[in-house]
Amino acid sequence: MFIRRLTTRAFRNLAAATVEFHPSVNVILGANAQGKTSLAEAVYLLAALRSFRTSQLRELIRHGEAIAGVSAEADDGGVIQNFAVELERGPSVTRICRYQGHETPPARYAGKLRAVAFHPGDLGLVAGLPEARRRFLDRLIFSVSPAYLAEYQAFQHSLRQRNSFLRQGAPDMELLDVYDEQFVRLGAVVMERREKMIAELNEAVDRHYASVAGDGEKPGVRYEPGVSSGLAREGSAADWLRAALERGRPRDLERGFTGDGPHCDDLDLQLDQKPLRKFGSQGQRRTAVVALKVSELEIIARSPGPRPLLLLDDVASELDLRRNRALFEALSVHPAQVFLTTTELSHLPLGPATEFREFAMEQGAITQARDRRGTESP
Amino acid sequence: MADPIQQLTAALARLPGVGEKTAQRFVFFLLADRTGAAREIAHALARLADEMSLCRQCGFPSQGELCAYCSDPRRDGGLICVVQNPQDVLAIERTAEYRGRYHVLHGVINPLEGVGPDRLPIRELLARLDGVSEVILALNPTVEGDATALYLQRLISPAGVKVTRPATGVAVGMGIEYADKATLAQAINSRRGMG
Ligand SMILES: Nc1ncnc2c1ncn2[C@@H]1O[C@H](COP(=O)(O)OP(=O)(O)O)[C@@H](O)[C@H]1O
Ligand SMILES: [Mg+2]
Ligand SMILES: [Zn+2]
Repeated sequence: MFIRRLTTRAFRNLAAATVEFHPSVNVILGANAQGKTSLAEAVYLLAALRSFRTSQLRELIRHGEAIAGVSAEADDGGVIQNFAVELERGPSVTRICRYQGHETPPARYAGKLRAVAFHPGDLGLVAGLPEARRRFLDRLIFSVSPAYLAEYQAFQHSLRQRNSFLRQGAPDMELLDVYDEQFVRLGAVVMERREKMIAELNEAVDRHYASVAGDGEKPGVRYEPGVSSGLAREGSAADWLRAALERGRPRDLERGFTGDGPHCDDLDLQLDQKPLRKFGSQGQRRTAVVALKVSELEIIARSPGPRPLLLLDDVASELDLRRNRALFEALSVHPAQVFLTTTELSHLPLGPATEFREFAMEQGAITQARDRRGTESP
Repeated sequence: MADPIQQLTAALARLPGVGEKTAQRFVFFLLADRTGAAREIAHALARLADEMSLCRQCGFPSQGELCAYCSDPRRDGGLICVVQNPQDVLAIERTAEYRGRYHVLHGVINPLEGVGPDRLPIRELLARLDGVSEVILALNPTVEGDATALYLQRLISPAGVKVTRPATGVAVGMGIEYADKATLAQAINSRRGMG
């Protein structure tokens, strides 16, 4: 699947225009603050119904406008597919999705077009907050198993209900047993999904890390369940979670929130069994993130569904030449349509045989588009 | 007292799903209407308030002390179907598969919205269990409906009464009220025991 042409309207600073993309590699070139990331963001919105750089969709609507729109014509093995997303300003932003011209609920639209984005903010994934790692993991699970969305939301909802119940005075213990039972059932589903995905990631990262790092250190991706330490796992995730809730009940009642469960899970990246988030150098952490993102693309690409588009926003300038080459090599294995943004063409290690379309971006408008080969001077 | 427009707007805005804006739209519509809608609605509302109440036994709307279902001797008094809303009773009746009685909770347990078990007619339900052989918990498959069903099961089972739930078929997140007739009939006929 690739995007043939894309039209934007009142989207950030982008001039209303239609862009004709190259089926394989597209390079968006320009100085800072011209709109390169915005164009990549528009492509991503169409697939993911969100942005990769902000959780506030209202930021995507041009200042002073009520509605922003992105639409595209995609080619799926010769079959034309039409996608459109509108964002309407309001107390919260409303998303209106259209597939083949028909308004389609977001839950049904999701998955018809898929994309993986890699941007400088991802580089903090290894050492940053656990929330970001959980989000990364959960989104990866949604993209390969859409049914996970409802399971995850049900779990989050039961967590909110249990916490709210804990904060009420003199709680009915019979009812607390019910919330525990429900939390265990829904939480175990989330834990099992995450456990399985982390095993897949571990296997993929193991293959990709060495090629990016160029040395023999052994990486590992480990699941760190949010069950407070000291409680050994016996039996299923559900049994473990049940034991943790039972043990933590007096503490939960006192504090008014649930102290154990998947909402406290983490994903630990390791090198030779040592957590990178504590002991890694910046270079090692970046290598691990590159390996994680390549693994993400690989896992999504091999799951049933359309081949994901790949967006690399300003990543090349953040990585050294070796990591860049390794990244591009690993990515070239996947015949995905790629969108790259950069301030300097020379940052991109595209070999002389690589054909790509270069777009010059200036103040929200594409001033030139031309097809070229290779970015590396011979 | 506030002027009639303000008074009615505030009154309508108390309805579920109706905000200030929608309430205002209704009020201005009624003001401009020339077909007598306002009087007709006022009359119907007065009758609703004067003539209807909730059945003393099951909570379903009724003109007398007991609703049509509770006072119908052909219905099986050994079977109680617990639902969230009166609309769910109508949906189940449309399937023509169920001949027992009902118990309407008018809500589900929802700590986030401040609804605890004491706000629902649960004691009334427990007081009806004498001579009952089965209680069907036909609550919506939401997190709240599910928690309420689990809670009721814990209270009812010790009395030696069988507790069941409609089988799958009613999709997660879909209300009983919206399930199609065939799906709902199938779900009720193949209900499963709990616990
Ligand atoms: N909602 C918006 N309306 C108008 N302009 C915006 C909006 N959001 C961002 N901008 C502006 O768009 C410009 C382009 O931003 P960006 O796409 O991040 O550029 P680049 O990636 O080329 O550095 C910036 O100058 C920014 O201030
Ligand atoms: Mg940028
Ligand atoms: Zn009745």
